[in-house]
Amino acid sequence: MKIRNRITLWISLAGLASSAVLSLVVFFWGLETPYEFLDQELEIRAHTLTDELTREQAEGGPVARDLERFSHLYWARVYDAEGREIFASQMARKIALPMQPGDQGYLVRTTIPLGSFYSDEDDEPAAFWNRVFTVTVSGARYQAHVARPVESLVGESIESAIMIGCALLASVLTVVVVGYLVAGKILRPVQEINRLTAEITEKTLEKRIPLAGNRDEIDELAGSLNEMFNRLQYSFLRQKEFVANASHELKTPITLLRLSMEETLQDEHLPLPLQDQLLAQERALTRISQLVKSLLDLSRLELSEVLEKETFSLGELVASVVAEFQALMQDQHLTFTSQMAGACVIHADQEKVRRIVINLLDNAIRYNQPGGEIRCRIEPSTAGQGLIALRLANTGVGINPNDRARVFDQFYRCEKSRATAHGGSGLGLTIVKRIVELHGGSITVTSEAPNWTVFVVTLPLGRAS
Amino acid sequence: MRVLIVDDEPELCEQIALILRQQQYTVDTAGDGVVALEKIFTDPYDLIVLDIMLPEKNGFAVLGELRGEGVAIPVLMLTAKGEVANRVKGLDLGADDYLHKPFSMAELLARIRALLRRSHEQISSSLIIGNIRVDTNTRIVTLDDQPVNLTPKEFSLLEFLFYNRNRAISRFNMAEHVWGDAFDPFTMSNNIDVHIKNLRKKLDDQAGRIIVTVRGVGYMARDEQA
Repeated sequence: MKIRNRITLWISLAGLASSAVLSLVVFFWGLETPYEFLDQELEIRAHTLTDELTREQAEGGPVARDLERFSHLYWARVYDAEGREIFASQMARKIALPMQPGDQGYLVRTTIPLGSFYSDEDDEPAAFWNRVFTVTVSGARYQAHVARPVESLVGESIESAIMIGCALLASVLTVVVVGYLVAGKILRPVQEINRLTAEITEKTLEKRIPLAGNRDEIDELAGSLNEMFNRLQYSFLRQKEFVANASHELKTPITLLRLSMEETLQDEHLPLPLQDQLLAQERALTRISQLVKSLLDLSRLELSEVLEKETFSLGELVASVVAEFQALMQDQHLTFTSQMAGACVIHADQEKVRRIVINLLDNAIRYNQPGGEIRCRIEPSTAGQGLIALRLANTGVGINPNDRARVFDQFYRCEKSRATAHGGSGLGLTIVKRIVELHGGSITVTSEAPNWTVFVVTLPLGRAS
Repeated sequence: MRVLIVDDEPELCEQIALILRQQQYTVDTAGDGVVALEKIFTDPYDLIVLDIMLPEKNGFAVLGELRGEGVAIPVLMLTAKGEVANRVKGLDLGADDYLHKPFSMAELLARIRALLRRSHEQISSSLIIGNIRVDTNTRIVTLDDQPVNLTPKEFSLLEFLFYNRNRAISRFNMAEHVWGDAFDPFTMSNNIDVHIKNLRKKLDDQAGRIIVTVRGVGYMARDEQA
């Protein structure tokens, strides 16, 4: 589960729990409160009623109309000390309610519709909230049983439960939405860091994550990542410098060795077996020399060498490289055909683009078969505006689909056993790819049946477009 | 023939390189003294064109260092006009010739040819073996005084062999001098065999009496009279 969703879930659960507690409190408080009010009301009623009654008795008059009217909203019976009923309200004369003396109020349900006590037409069965009070007025003790019809509190509590439930739902929904947004906001810097980190590749190790400078946890994370990139970049540079230095240091002894070897070979009286050995050594040495040169070239290219761009015709460049190989291709009975859409002027590093063409054509010849074919085509790229595609196809051994993605890897050869027979350093295509990348272009290799290998180099036209 | 041009002015470097390439020289360039020395000590050059004013290490230092290491490659110094002291210093340090800036390309080419001749102990601009004459000036090859039509690379290869007459030259060595670094020496050594075959055909030397195959090593231009 994504952290954003998880944070949302946690926030929602916390919100739900607190809302639920709040709801329960409100619900039970809501259940109790009306009875408390009722109790107070009934108590006041009981006292005033008893007061009025005793005052009337003292005056010796009959039960006053006032009293009747005063108590018509209540069920009330008042007993004197001997237990004789001295007053019953209008409602009390209609219905009898059981008396349960005590400090607690109690509910008595009846089957009589509520509407018969009040003028409203409510036919809900009436329930009475009863209280029995002992009231002492000027030394005499009275018992007042007072009750009030109440609407069904069960219905009320269901209603309020539904209300609270709805409120709870709304609040949970709000918490989920807000939680999701908040989680997004919390994670935004993390996503930003993630995006920037993903952008940093082997080629763009000099990039860093910008720091907000507020010293929070996210900022510390970004800082740590930057530190890691520093260390990575340092070790990468060290490695590349090492290759460059090592290659350079290797070149001088190789040259010295070759010179002395060539000098020895000048001796016509050299015994044949010795000559053969020397020749094998020269061959191996040339291979080493070529390898070291390629390594040096590659490490220079890797150390993001600056391009010296100029405007030139790609068509002419290809033609001049082909001229260098012409005799060789004729000798191996290779047919070369080319197709160009005009001069194909581009703005790029001519020497390096020349290197691309040389290496690709060298490959096309080396891995070809006698009597084979090489086809070259330069045309505007279909991949987009301002791009030119150089397509070089050759017959020959072809490239296994599994090998295709790896032919640009360093020292990768499709046929290990035949590597030496074909010569080369195993770095030619790696160098090609790096030059193409430095120009902001791309290179692909495909195989077309039967036994055709096609390299397509796409380069931006540069300023020439 | 492989030439190294050392000048801190990239435009000038490229200009000279362009013209020398048109003349079928194999050309490398270096922008400062350190790169120049690196190239000189690792790649085989037939001639160096060296400017005095260079970043990192000036021309005198480069010259002093390479002569100190016993490298005998001919060096043509480029000097600003009127600096007599510099000219003398350069020649004393082992420069073979000097040229004032600004110079004409024709003069530069003539001096390069002269230096190459001198370093290979040639007296005239023509290299002659048997009935074959290679004119390094006009770049015309004649067989029994009849012009032979050679491709630029065939000419360069023949010129290189003729300059180094009576020395067996390995294919890899020829590849480096005639094609330069960008090409794979293994592919080029095959290419050289093809070129030699074509040259022999064109020069009526199928038996290989002048362009001799040295078993295993490579080829040699044999001059019986030398």
